[in-house]
Amino acid sequence: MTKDKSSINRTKDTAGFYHTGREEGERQLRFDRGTLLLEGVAELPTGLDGWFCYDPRVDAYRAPASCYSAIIGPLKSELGRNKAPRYQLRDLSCALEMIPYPHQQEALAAWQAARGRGVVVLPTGAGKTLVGLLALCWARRDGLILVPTLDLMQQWYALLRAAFPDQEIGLLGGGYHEPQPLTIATYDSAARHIERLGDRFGLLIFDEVHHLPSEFYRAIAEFSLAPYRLGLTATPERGDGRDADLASLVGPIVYRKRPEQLAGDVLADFQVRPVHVDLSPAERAAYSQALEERNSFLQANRLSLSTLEGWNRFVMLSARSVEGRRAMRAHRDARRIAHATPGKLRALGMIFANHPGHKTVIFTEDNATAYEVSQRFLVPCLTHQTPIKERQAFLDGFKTGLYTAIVTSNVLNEGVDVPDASVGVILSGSASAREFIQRLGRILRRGNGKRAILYEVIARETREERVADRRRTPPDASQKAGQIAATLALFERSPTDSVTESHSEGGSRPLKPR
Amino acid sequence: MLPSELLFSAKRGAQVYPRFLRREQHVWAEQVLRLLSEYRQRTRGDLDAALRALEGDSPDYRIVRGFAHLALNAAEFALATGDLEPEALRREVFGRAAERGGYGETQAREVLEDLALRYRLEAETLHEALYADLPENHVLVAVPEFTPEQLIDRYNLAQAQGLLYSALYMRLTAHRNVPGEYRRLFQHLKFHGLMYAVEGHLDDGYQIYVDGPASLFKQTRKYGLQMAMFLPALLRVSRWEMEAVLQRDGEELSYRLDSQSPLKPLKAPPAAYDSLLEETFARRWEKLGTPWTLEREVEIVDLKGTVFVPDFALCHPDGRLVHIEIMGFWHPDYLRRKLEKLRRAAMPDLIVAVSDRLNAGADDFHDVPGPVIFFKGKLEPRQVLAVLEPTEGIAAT
Repeated sequence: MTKDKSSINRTKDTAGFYHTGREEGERQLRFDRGTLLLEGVAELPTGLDGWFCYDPRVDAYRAPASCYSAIIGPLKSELGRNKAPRYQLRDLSCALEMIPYPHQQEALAAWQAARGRGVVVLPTGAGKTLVGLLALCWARRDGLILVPTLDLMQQWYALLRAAFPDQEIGLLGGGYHEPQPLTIATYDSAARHIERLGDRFGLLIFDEVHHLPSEFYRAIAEFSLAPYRLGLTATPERGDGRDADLASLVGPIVYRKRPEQLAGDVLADFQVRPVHVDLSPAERAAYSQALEERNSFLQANRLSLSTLEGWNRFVMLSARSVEGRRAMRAHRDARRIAHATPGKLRALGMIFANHPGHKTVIFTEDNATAYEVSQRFLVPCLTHQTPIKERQAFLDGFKTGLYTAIVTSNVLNEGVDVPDASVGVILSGSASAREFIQRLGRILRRGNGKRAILYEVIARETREERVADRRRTPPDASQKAGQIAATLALFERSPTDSVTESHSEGGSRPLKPR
Repeated sequence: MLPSELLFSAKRGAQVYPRFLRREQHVWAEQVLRLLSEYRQRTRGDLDAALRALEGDSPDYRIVRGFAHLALNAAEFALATGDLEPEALRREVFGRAAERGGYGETQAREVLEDLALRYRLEAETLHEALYADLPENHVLVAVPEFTPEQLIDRYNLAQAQGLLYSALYMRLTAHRNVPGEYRRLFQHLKFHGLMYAVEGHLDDGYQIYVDGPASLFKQTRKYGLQMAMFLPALLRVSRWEMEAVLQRDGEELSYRLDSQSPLKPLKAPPAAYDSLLEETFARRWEKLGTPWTLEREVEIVDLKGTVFVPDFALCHPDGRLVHIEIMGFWHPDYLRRKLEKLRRAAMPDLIVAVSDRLNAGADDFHDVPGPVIFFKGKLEPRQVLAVLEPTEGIAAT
């Protein structure tokens, strides 16, 4: 039996992935689920074999979508039709009158000079979002903005609506699935749908771009044909070293400013005040007992938590026996006691009393503590669980001064505007450069020459003290942070067990002195 | 399906196996289901605590969590507060607290007590209702009606699926399956965004190589989740073998499964025939008393991106083999695509039987190489036999 290979004419099939057929023999390029398919060519035009491979499954040549801008130049004259890009030229005139700061203009110029591909590193609060807006106006292409959190989605949404009142702004994620020529998507949703959307945008803006190189999210860059790409972040470095991949996924770092380079200019002056609270005798007893139980298991199994490997072995062994399970539970108990002590809530009451009427943002590491603060003091609470509209209402209320305090778990970490907060309180936290800089950034927004205060509430004689120590070392040695007498004895022989805290995606890492 | 941390597998050399439940672990399924029904009308937080107590110090805790995960996926939760909407309550409470001024525990108590009077509730109840919409405060209202055996089947299937999360590609071997099973197999592959290449033939079965579009450039685990979602569809095929190649910790491992495995499909097997038209034709062929036998194991034609699977094969003891495709009443769009497939498959030994309800004429089939017959109502087996016997020319292969 023979098959007539010359007349391959693919049609839309039941499942809906295949596109309508092409004219016989016509050379065409089209987008197929995150790749580019070159059909109707018997042999690959010269110079393209570095990008395209023959795909016997469909009898055509295929290339990764992300190389579109590299191949379209040499390929254009060879093609009958170019059906790959579905994005349009769009004249985006900005209705907002905003004069960029010099550093924002410099950042844009550096990105343009790199032919619209690159990463801009600016401290939180230095107006990265405006750089993104300028890039949109310059590229004049349909654009997709990627954000790690719903708060950031909200912030971009508000900004784009104000900037482009005539454009529909699409949302992807947080319960929405409405792609538009200008769309804001969470990394999660975009990674899920990029196979179908990778041809619809000419510009990708990755806010908090350090999230992108993870195995799951990187597909957003790989499966898109967008020629223009902009990454924005305060902290490009990742614990796993994958930040090296940003160059190929987005582009090189084209502009970088550190907080201290902008401090006098844009960021307000700030001071850090550690507040130590004691565990109650009962808590202390429970804490010691939990540590003891864990440590005896570690000793019996010759484990040390000072390395990632040690921690992994602990996790593995703990799953295998009753003793191991108990030891892991004891480890978690100890952590919980150190983090959520009622003493910290008492300290918070004291801070409230010391700053009546001052705009205060309270940061907690876990949702449970955030809700506890909210219920105890009747303060609006923001977590990743808070519904979008309510979140916006609370933030608006805080901006207008209806509420003078707001409590949040990690959601405010990245780039969300909370203007005018003059008091920050960190109730619990783990050592992580990114987290600390970003948390600081929240309350260090440009204000009227005010001096912001960041309280750090630490339970005494728990390992949190060492976490706090590590966190504080680099940002500014000149600050009178106050001496912290970290008592390492109780927390035994693991002076660098930060790895135990960092199994979250992206991996946090301890600060290194600069 | 289950999250990675609840998966079990065993490695022997370069082979990896899903670890199905041992007999003595089955008891957890019943205990989890019983706990769920005891916790009807209680909060998810309470239920979670009870589940944690159930797992206790047992090294089987991941099994308990796996059962709970699968059962809770099919359960229903609701708000405990009835008419009192937590979001509205929060707006009011936080607004009043802000109006009162000065944050503190005493102030907060005053605000709540004041408000509790107006709501005719205890201050403590208001305090609780403030976050009744959090998942851990949701109330369990409906429990899935699984038997312990069904939950165990789902669990084992989820374990088998989970291994595929890290799959780079898979190779399926299928043979002696009816056309409908093949069609559904390829439909599901396509539905899950996977790609395939088909090799082999009727006698020895078919090898179907499965991966995704971007697998061409580098090995990627990007399609593992899609392969996992596809697995239940494979279980509904009668005879198959699967070998998936996984990448774990930089090492390539082989994962094999076949239709002899204890896994059970979630849904009942599909009907043997795709349409009544086919079924009637098959039944009436038997009564014809001809040496031509009607077979349901047919040739699969890989059309590069899609496949053509005819309805029947007709085999003669002298070795002649002819295929037949019956086109009943279809949507015009489907007809157009089917015609396209027939042209591309270009099988000279394929008889196409077309219903006159189809609104298609001889013209539509001018470039389909095999014989075409038109029929009214039911397809008469004699009509087909008439094509087979007097015309020796079509006896091909």
